[in-house]
Amino acid sequence: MIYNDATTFFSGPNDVWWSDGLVHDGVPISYLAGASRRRDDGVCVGVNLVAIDASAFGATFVGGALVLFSQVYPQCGAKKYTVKLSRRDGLSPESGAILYSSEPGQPGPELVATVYDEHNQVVPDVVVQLQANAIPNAGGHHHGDNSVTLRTGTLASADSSAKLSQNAQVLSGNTGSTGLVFTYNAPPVGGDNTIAATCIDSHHCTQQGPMQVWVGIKGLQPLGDAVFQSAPPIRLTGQTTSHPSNHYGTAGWVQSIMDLATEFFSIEGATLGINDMSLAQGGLFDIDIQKHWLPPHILHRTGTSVDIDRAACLNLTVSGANCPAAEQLPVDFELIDGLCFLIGGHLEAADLRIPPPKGPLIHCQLNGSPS
Amino acid sequence: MRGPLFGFFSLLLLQLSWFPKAWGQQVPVPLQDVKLQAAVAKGGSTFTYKYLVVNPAVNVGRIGKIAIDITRNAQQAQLSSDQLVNGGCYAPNISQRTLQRVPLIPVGIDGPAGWICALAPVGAPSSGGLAGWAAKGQAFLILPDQTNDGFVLTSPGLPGIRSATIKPAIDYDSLPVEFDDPDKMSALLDSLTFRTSSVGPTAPPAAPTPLDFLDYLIGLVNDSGNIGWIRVGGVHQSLLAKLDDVRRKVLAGQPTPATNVLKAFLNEVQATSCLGFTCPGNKPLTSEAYALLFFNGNFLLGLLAP
Repeated sequence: MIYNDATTFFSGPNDVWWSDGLVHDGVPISYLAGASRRRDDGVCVGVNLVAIDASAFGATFVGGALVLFSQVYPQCGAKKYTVKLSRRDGLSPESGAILYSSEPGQPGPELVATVYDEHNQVVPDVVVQLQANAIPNAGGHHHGDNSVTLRTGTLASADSSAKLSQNAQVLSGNTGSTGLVFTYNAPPVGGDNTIAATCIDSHHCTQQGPMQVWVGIKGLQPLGDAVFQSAPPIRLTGQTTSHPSNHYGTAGWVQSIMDLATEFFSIEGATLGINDMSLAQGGLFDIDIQKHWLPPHILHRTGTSVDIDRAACLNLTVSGANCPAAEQLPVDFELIDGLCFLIGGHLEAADLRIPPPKGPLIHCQLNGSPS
Repeated sequence: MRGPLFGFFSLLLLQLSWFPKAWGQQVPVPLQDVKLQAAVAKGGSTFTYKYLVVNPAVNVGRIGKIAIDITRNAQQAQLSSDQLVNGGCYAPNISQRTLQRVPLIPVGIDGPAGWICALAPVGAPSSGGLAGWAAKGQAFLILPDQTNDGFVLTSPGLPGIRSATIKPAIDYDSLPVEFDDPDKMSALLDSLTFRTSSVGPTAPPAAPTPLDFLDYLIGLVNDSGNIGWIRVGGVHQSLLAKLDDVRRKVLAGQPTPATNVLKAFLNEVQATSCLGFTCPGNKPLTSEAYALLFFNGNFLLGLLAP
């Protein structure tokens, strides 16, 4: 089967090799490859190369033809534009991929979407479309429905040409002379989110540069290590398929919880079940699979919370939540209240009413920490 | 008549069946008139601070947590923790962690049976630290009309006026659902905390001068009067007059007469003070005033001595 019908394939921007197939020893081995280029006189010309029969890995140059496309394929001769996102305050992006970081639920800095030509000159008056997206399974949430605004965040702009749609997840507007100014409001859920940009008028552009916003609390650490996860004084509990890593906290809080559990162990000779803390990037910790992206965990957002199971375990070989009923020791509320007080915290009533199997729990919160 | 009554009770029973916990829910009542008395003695270079906690019969709440501020600020001298011993209540991990994070006056800590004790952080983002005690369980709470005098600190730190907090035990399972809101819970906890002043270890300035420390001592006399630790106005005025005299003599370059007047001040403090939680007669100075004025006065004496 030979694909040599240029009408099917040559529609890309100028000066771009088009290859829709695998490459073997540098040769395209299925479908077609070709190139188009806009000449100085504005006419689009292309060469049609052929690669055939992927099964044989014997693709050979069968033939090529210089053809004129401009009449039939208007985009072939389109200019090669790029759209880039940057901070309006001039601060550099955090990395090649990350534009900036934001705490959950916080409005971000003013951003600018700017279109450039192949000579890196600003192209004015291009209509661009921006879309806030969430990368699935990021931020410790391994459950679906990544398209709601509580997960993706929202966009906003004071520009008179800007129009919002899809619950403010999509923003379109004219770049004017210096770019479209907009803001991204981080969602309450932690995660890795992106702002995808495209040109939606007759211009054809591709996005370049950082487009990701890291939403979360910096510096959270997992509780315990390989030793502590299988030995006294703690057992890590409360993991679910939706939130498999639920034991993150600030460095200081993680140490304080270990101190609390160590002291409890020295008094009671039993291991504490450490249930939900925060997710890897903090933010809203939804635990009800019927209500994705919503509480009941009111706190647990900043790495300064811990839920403690109401039953400790006298069998020191047991890990996780598998303590046999006969070896469970009811946890004295007063003792946990006292230990929480001594590590600089206080008890909250918030998680007392979480139903089994996760709850009810005893919630200790660091004093003075943001909720 | 039977119809409406029957309807009323039916409705009541129905509501009870829907909200079975409603009967058991109750908002805790703040502690009132709790007393935290301090008595200080010195042996060698170490002060022993003993505390008596009194939960009066008027209260409903049971006391479960006690804390005294022992933060050291940057201008204060760093004192040695050598020879300080902790009692059986001591939680070493929590205390060591606190020492790594917060500048504290060095103390040894002990508590009554059934209580845990530790050097504790106030929380985040505060940099303050506490000497804290907490009941290990329901059985060890200080009930209304009970006292407990087993709370002890030892320290090289001079007695100073320190803030103290006393917190009641809370039956969290019986709290109304509105306190699931962290803001309301925070307000409740704040309202339940009993705040008072007591005497606890502090440190003199890193480079004390006689005049500055004398002014600090005069401040302690005034504060003691305001708090109620000096109960007779005449004694208060007499002590202030002596310290004013010391000040004049120091400014006049007369260290020996200044020292003599300061010794008279110390004699008056000793003669008019309770040294312990209770004392015969109704002496004008409480044990707190004695601790503040006698030991800080003696420290000033050391600064004045040629």
